[in-house]
Formats: sequence, structure tokens, C-alpha cells
Amino acid sequence: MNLEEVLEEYAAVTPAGNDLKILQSFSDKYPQFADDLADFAAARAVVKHAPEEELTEEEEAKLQESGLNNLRSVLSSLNSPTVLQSLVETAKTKGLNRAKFAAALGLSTSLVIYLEKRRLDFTTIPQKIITKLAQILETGEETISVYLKQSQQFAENRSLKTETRAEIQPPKNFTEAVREDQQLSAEEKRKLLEM
Amino acid sequence: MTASETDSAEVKKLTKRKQETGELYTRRADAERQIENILCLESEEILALLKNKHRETDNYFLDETIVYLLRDANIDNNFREDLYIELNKRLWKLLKKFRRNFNNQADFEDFGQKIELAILRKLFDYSTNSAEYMEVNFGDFVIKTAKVVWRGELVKIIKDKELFYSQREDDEEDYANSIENNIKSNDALTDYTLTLKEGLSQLPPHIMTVAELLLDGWKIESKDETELTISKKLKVSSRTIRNWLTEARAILADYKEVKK
Repeated sequence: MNLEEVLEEYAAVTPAGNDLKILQSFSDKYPQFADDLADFAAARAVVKHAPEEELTEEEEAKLQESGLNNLRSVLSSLNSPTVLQSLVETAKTKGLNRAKFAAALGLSTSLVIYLEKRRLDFTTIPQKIITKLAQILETGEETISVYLKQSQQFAENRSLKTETRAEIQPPKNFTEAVREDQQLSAEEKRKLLEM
Repeated sequence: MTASETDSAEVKKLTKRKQETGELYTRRADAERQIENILCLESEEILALLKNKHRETDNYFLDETIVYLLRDANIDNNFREDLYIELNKRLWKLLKKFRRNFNNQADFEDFGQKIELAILRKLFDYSTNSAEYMEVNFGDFVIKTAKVVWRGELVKIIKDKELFYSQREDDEEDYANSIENNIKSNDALTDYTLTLKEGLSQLPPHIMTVAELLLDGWKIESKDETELTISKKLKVSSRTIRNWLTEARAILADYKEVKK
């Protein structure tokens, strides 16, 4: 479970408020999130016991304006299809640097760069990788597919127009990229090739 | 248009399950009942109900009910905006309780803006059921989101020169059995906890945080090194906390006198 799921699970099993024994059991079970759990529980205590603070008229007016702007902006972004600009940058917004992102996918950082730069032949990328990407980046598989395919078309179009450009290379086969990888262990390669 | 015309008049069931037990999430009984009751109301009637600001009254419009209505993709746009304005006010009132942990207003507003946007995106994400806990307990959902999005500590003591207390070498008093170390959140409120609760707003921010944790049943210190305590959470020695509580007692005594 990730941090968000662990905090929600703790809240769900303690609906009436903190139970420090249950909190302790969660901390024992998820030691990597022990500090976050303690802070979450303390924040619940603050919210429960701190005196209710009223908003000033000025604050209300400001919130009304900014809130509506935020609402409209989020709704309009939902109505337009999600277009990913970068896998790596999106992963960063989820707290994953390149190495962590690669580890979460079970890939090497060089394979992540192949995906990022759309250097892999889309048809050879296992569906499981696309599913994992969608889960980690909290988006749809379709959005991931569009990202990975889009540039392939883009690269093809460019290569037709600029045949002489040396830097434009044909997309690589996923299997071939895995076999050539210098970072993955033999076991990791075997798992990827079996996908 | 009635709220029920936007969709089925039946309250939509939640689909998310607790990871550990596999049980389906359920709304609190009061929220479930209120949603059932408002589905046949006109949107104007619902907006009139939102004017009740007294949380302790029976017909107070619950946060979870507003979330339920907002998550209906088919509601009228103006109605959605009116509902959101109210939910957003409640969100910021909750976030204001953390204002004391920020050095300035700009940092606090930056924090609040990040949380508001994260909540909004979750609220209207119909592709997964990840936002359903918002209908179970909106307050906890906000705190959880704040914890994940902000990444920094939500509850901390801002170190300040004025908070420095010299350690008294002759202080041999055993506080392990003191009133402050043994308040249980579910106990009937003693005079002490009642005074603490009533006088909370009179206390300086750092002592207020300690008092809130005490009221929640946390101990100042423990002989069990693995037990979470106020001292551990706030990274402040138990002796300093006891000094703060001595100060709190003086402030609360003055407050009681003034009230008389």
C-alpha cells in the first residue's frame, strides 16, 4: 500500500477518532510511514479539538472568487482529453525520481528513457508495462498509449520530411532493448521478456 | 429541478473496499439519512438549508452530503458552483487550524491552494473510486490529502527564542502519573480537561498544540520507548512540555477568574 492508502485505511478503521494502539499497530506494520502516520494522527487531533475559526468577510469574498476559478479550471481540464507531456515529469509530481520510477516499473533507467523519448516500437511494449505506467501515474491506459504512440507517428512524419537527418532512428523493439540493457540483472531481463 | 432528477432517487452505494478486511466503505448513518432526505428537494431548498451554520443542529448540511451532490456529474452548473463555494469555505476553515504552523500568510495560502486543487481533482475524478472516502469522512480525507500533497509536517512546533526554557536541575517531580499524562480521550471530562477545552483559544500556539494532543488522549512521555508520545511527536523534551503546561495552568486560572 502507498502512503495515501495506509492513511486512509487507518482513518477507516478508527472512524471515531484516533486510537493510539491501532496507530501503533499500523506503524509497526508500515514502519516506512510511521512518521507520516504520527503526523496524520496529530493533525486529526488538532482538527478535532482546535477551536472553530470563522472566516472574515474579506476571506470569504476572496475564497469565493478563487474557488470558482479553481472549480472552472479543473472542470474544463477534465473535459479536454488528458495529454501527457512527459512520463518522467509526471512521475516527479507523484514523488518519484527517475530511479524510483524505474524501480516501480521494474525497468532500468535507460529503458525509462526509451519510453520517455518514445524510442520503442509501441506494438512491442507489453500491455503490463502500460498498465503499470497508468497505475503509477494515476491516469488511463489510453492516455499512456496516446503518449507512446503519438511520438512514433511524429518521428515517422519527421523522418519522411527529413530523410537526411542522422539523429532520427527507427523505433527499437522492446525485447531487443531489454536484451541490450546494461543495468538489468539476468533475472530482471527474464521477467521482462516473459511479459 | 430536484436533486433527484439529476440521477436515480436512490442513494448510490459506495464501491470502494477496505484493503485489510475487504469490507465495503459505508457512509455514516446521519449522512446516508440526510442524502436520502434531500434527493427529493429542489436545489433552491437545498441551498436554503446550506445557510444553517450551526454544526450541532439536526438539519445542518453535512460536508459528506455536499460531496455526494457535487460528485453527481449531471447536476446543474450554477447549483454545482453554489455547492462548491460552501464546501470550499468549510475546507479552508479546517485548514485554518494549521495556520499557526506557517511562518507567514503567503506560505499558508500556498499550502491551502495545493490542497484545494488536489481535493477538486479527486472530487471530479470519475474514472476511479479513489475519492469515495470523501463521502465517508470529508475531514479525514482533507487531512490525508494535505499529508500526501504537502509532504511537510502538519503538526509541529515552530522553534522560537521565546520558547526556550532552561532545564531545572532540581525538578525531580514524577509526571508519569500526573493529570496531564493520563487524560484519556473517552473519559468523562474532568474539571481540568473541561477548563483546558474551554480555554484552548487563550493559549499560545505551541501550548495549544500540546493541549489538543492531551485532549486527544496522547501521553506526554512513556517508559515504553516504542509508544508514540507528545514529546516524541513534537520533538520537544518532556520537561519543556511540563513547563509549558505550568504556564498553561496559570493562563487558564486567569481565564477562569475573568469569566467569573
